[in-house]
Amino acid sequence: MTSTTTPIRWTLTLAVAAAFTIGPVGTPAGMAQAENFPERPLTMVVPAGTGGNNDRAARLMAGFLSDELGQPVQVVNRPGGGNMLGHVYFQQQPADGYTLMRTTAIPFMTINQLVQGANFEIEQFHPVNITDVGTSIVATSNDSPFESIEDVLAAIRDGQTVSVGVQPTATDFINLSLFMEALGKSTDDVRIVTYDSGGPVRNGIIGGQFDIGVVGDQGMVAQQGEFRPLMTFSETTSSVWGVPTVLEVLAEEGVEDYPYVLSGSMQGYFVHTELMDAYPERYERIVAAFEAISANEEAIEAHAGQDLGIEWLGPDASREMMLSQHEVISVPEILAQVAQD
Amino acid sequence: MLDTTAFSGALALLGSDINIWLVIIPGLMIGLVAGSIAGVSNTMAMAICLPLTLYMDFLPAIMFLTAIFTGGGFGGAVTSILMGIPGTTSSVATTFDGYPMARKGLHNEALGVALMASVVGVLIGYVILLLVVAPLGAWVIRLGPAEMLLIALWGMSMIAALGGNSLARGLIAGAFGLLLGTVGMNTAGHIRGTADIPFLLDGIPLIPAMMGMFAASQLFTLIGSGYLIKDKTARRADYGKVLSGFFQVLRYPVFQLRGTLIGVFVGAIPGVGSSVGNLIAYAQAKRTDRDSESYGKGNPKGVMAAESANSSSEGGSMVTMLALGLPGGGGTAMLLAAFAMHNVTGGPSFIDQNMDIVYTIILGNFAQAVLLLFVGLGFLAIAGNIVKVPITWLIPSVMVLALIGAFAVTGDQAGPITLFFFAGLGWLMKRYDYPVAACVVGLLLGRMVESELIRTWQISGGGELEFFLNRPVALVFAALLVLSLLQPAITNYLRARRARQQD
Repeated sequence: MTSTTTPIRWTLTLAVAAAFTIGPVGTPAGMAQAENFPERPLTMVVPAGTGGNNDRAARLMAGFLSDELGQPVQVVNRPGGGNMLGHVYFQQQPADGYTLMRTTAIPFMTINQLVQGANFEIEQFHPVNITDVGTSIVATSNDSPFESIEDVLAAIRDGQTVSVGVQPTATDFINLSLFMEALGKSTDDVRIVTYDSGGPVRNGIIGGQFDIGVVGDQGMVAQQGEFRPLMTFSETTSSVWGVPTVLEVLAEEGVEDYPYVLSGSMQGYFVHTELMDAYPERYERIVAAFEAISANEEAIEAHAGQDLGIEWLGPDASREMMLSQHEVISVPEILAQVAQD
Repeated sequence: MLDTTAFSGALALLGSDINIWLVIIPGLMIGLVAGSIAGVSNTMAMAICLPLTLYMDFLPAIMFLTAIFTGGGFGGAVTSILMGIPGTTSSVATTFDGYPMARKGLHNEALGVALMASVVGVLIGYVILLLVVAPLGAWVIRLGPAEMLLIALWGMSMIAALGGNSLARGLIAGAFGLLLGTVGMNTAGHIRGTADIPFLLDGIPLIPAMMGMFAASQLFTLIGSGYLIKDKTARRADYGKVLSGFFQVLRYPVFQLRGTLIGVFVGAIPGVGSSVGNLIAYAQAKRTDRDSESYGKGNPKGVMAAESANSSSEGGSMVTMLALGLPGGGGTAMLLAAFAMHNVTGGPSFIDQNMDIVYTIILGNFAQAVLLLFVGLGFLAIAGNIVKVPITWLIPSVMVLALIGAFAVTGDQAGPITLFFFAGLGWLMKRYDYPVAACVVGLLLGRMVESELIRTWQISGGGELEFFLNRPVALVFAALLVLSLLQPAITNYLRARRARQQD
């Protein structure tokens, strides 16, 4: 009677369920077999939902990684709480090299640790490679009356209402807040419209749903021409956007010492810091695999098509860059900008 | 509107590669099976199959993924009708009349109606896409928080339609659902009602909660009856009756067309999609029908409205993806990822330079819709046998499947725990005669209503009237919403007046 349907459903559902459990269930292999690593499938944790930047990157990388390592790499999504749930989940997995993670480390790890009270420290995550460093940009729609950032500042000074779309937990908001402060204003002088992620902010900029938006420039390159960039939060002029930097704009306004230019976000691939001591050979194997993929023509082309980074920076330089940015954001006055909202 | 050179180019492309056609049937089958497994969403099925497309050429890859999309749109209807438990959030409204039809022994007809409504929905959805992809894309992206709030409220007006005999009980259940929907961290960063449980930071897991409430309220009431359908002779899969379901759809073209249009339009708005579309379409059907009392008791027009809307939203969701390169939801994000894997960048330049490819995708989906009719029929022949299973076997099997599905959604104990908690809640509500469906609708829409309300408040500087006066589209939406809510009253008044004049 049911025999025709039930087994099919059973096996499929079980297969799905199994796919989610394979990572954590495996038994730890002894040190003696470390040379044969990996001998079972690996898991790549993405602390965000399917379809986002990290998810797309992880799924793309998983294919190349399984070619390099000779074992399938299963992507597992653990969204929630500004990446916190996924970060906690990753830390709960054994540091045996079978669980990797693709995430936006900065600012989320910092905010998880220092604002949201997560029970981990950023030092417990070790970057194999930071691949994407974003820049916060200020932008508006193509038919906006604002032709330049000066127009926006004039409108704010004039007491006109300016609505600003931004993600309150992202560095974009911190950058905006510091910028307003440098001008002797605050975020209360504009109408802040809050979004849960960068995607809706980008849509809102292109559709003119608010007057200006502040958002990471990743994922915006493909939409070039559909919106008008006004300013970048960077120290040097971006070759892509060709608009004034925050430092140039402030110099024009007579503000000399601007405290911090924060990068929009830092994304990359992570292992447990513990792995380096516990299984040094496995760690080397993983690093070598990522380095080889960075030089793989096919991988380079595939990443370029998706507007994703793949360049090899390496664990040491990545770690240094991540921790120095972490230190910059850890200043109470910056964290207060996040906590306020 | 239609670029003829590109169109003939598309026909040539479709004929150029047999692989474009070979992937459609497997894709539809994957979609059907995934859609009918509680807890496995379209996005999940597409994400799992995405790496496979690396080994295909560009067009077969896109055809394969859109076939999964199409199959999944109908797959959700199967469990909704046969067991009263929606497999995905986009087939919630299908249960309202589909399940009562099944209980009456009309499961073949209900499945036939759902399949035909889906097929026609996909077809019309893509015809609209073919004609207006660029202008519609540019328009929907302009809809801001105020307009989105009104669309969410339109979906919420559904709650009033679910109260059954008592409007008050419906509203209480709906408001309770809304409150549950606000649990977690909201868009402004405030955390409410999580009771320090970490997984609630992101809100109550919707699919396990929904399955729990429906499963408890539907399955527990079956205890004591021997089979899903009392009449022994009706307990079989009957193609003749499925076909009669097909013809019912053709008998009410207005209902079909309206559901389809709502599905395309709501589906086209980024971040809204089919889970809101099917509710709005159902509520609209019930409000405008003379015979609105029969909804919720097994009216095929209810099934038609819900299924036409959730299937046509596939075409709608492709609007912003093709026209602007912006994904509106999980499914289109997967398609864009497949684009990128083949070094094709979506966006306005894509549609300008590759109109023939856009047309190829659309025409290929016409073919998918037609093939869905046959693949779907084959699938129903198997799935329809569920009604022959004794209840004592069915209830535990469904509960176990729901449990595994809930686990698959969250990947840890959060899913099953949520499922059990909400099963208890659903049972209590059923026992004290509160409509479970109203609570689920509140839960589904709570987050969207709250987020858009906050943003509307923020952008209007605390509700300044001037802001709204400068948003004509919002004003039109508001007027439409009020009119649609008052429609039953207006028709009643007109009918009464006509009756008086005749006396």
